[in-house]
Amino acid sequence: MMSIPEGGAGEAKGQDGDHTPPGQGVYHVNERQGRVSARGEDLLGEQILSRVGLTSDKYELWTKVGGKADTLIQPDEHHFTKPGDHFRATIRGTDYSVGTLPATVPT
Amino acid sequence: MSRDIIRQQAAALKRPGATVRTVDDGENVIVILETYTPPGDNYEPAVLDALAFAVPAPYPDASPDPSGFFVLPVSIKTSKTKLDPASSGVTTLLGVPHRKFSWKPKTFQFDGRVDSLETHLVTIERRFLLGT
Repeated sequence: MMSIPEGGAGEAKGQDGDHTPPGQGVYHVNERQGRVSARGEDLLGEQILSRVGLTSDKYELWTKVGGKADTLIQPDEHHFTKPGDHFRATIRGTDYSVGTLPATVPT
Repeated sequence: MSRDIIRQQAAALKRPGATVRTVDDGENVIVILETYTPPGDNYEPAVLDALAFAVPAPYPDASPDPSGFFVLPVSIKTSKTKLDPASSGVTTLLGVPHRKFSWKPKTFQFDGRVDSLETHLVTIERRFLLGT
């Protein structure tokens, strides 16, 4: 089971529990943490995902505004990523057009 | 123990101004966010009374309910057309009529070794961005 770490730029712990090295900071994708230069880095969408252990073939990457997924970042799209940034990763390939309804929650 | 994992991950879903609670319902735990603001301003009302989804007790060995999620009020409409949301209908959850948005994971499935209830909620939020 994954931890739900907390932390801000420069002070948070990484996925392995180690403190972030000097000169680096932490950004978040969902509850996962990735490391980035304290000055920020120009990363591709797929790099933002890969640094938190996710892949762009399974996940779509979104900016996060006000706690909600906002703008899609393509895998080959550049995004300047700074410590403290938050992103969302959604599972690709969900068919939202299914119309069949069960009578109740399946048990 | 699995129910504890569900409750722990559910607590992390708390959004500003909202609460999260869990309710045991047979072999499921129902995760309920009250209130909930969908992203994108595509629905009326803009702030929902509740968003809920079912998680099987064996989670994370079992995936959150892959058939859809529930909202209140049941009278939710799309902002543009003022119609009921597509692929949705009224069904009962915990003895109360809810509007259920139906979906089906096709290409990729939820993986409890990697994904969390946060992943599930964010994927729900993707549905609201469609505005249909």
